[in-house]
Amino acid sequence: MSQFKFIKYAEDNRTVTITMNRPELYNALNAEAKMEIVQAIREANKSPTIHSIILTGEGKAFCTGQDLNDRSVQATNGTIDLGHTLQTEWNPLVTAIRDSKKIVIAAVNGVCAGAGVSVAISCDLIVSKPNVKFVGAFSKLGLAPDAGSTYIFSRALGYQKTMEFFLMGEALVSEELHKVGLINALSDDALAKAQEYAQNINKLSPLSTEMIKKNIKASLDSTYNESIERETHVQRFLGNSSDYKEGLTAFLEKRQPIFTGN
Amino acid sequence: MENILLEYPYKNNEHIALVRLNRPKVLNALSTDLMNELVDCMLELDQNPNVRVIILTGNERAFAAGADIAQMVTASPIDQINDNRFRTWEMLRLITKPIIAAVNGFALGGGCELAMSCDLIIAGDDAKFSQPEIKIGTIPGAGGTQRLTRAIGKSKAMMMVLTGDMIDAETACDWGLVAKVVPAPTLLQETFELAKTIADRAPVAVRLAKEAVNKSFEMTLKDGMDFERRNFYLTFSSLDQKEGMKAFMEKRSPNYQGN
Repeated sequence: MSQFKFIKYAEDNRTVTITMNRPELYNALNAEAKMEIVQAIREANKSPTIHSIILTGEGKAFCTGQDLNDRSVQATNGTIDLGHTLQTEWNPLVTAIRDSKKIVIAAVNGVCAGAGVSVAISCDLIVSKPNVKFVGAFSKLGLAPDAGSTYIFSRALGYQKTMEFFLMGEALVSEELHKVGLINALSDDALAKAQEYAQNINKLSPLSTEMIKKNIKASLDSTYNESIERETHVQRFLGNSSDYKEGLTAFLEKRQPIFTGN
Repeated sequence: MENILLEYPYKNNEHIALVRLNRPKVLNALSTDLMNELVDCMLELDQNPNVRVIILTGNERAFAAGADIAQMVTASPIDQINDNRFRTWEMLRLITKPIIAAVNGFALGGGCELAMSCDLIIAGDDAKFSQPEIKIGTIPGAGGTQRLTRAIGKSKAMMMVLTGDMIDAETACDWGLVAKVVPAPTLLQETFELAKTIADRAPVAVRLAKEAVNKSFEMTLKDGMDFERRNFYLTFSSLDQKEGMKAFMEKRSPNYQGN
């Protein structure tokens, strides 16, 4: 679609691929670029024919976070509010990814730095090229990690490793993140692997993938009792869906189900 | 009725009526007409012997996004007095059957106040609550400073009323504004499960219990206790109480008639 300046938006067989497209800046994001991604995710969510979303970067980098040329983040006249930049730009971006009803797969084609790490780890599934560097660049600038990265890393890596990562500012490579389960798969062609995931997801019931995502995400913030209650609500709901009927019939008839999302 | 829909969506359970606010184009803004229709409908349901529990809901995007601002931009105080728009809101207090608000999406301003006028609120996990009147130079007028304060306490109510900012469903539940949060798509079904449970209870006792709980906001503890006791004694004049206790002794489910 031509309405986007900083990203590419391509639909192919029920999958939207959003490509951050500022390769000359290693896909650092200015305010507009972030809003374009949010808008693209919204559009993909609105379209009933789209079942999955792939997020990737053009060129050598996946995303290197904040475009430091953006005026809003420059400490020139002493009145700077990075909290505002987070509230109005980064948080809406990572929240749009996390709240997306359609599954979002990151195809990490190259380096992730700063809030760019947050963009990758906000996705539901992550495929990365081997030996890609993830850098939490914040401490070297005199800042602290943001855009949800403290939450996700401390849960995936544990406290001490997360402290090391953000304090020392040294890169973790994709192999290490793969080992701890933060990255799902390593592939020299990350995009192709992400497309393979997407094709598998596209065959599932959209209702079911939406609720699976919702419940697993919620379980991270819930007790056991809250989780089994939520599971019960969701299963009661899905049990009345046409897709469940179809899934069950197809299973008994030993054929592939055709889901409609109802 | 143009602005609301009355449904009995649960085929084998006509005891539950579902009232749906139906101005989707304006996020169910609560116009005078809508409120009049809503109150008329509620009063009728209160008289309908088949109905035991009422569910009030909006749509996926909004429970209700507030009063109809378009009706008020140029109003004078005298216009407001003459219009007496809160008269209809007051009448909701006359409904003696339990009303459950099922809130998905926005419950803002009058929408939040309408939800609080119900007996309890179940929220979808994408629900948002606020009293944003302060942002347009006025204050809540249908209970937003009173019911909200009773529900969540002074400090939190002040924060909401003075900033006008929204809180999400989880927060609303933590603060006691909402009884339960469920995944948004499951909201109506889960609210129905709750309504069904209440509809299975003795209808007269349910009404007396609702009345007694509501009185706790109006009375001293001593008067409230006395009131509760009278209602407690009163249940013993119902056949349902006899049936309930008999069924308990006989280890079977009670069969209540509502008398």
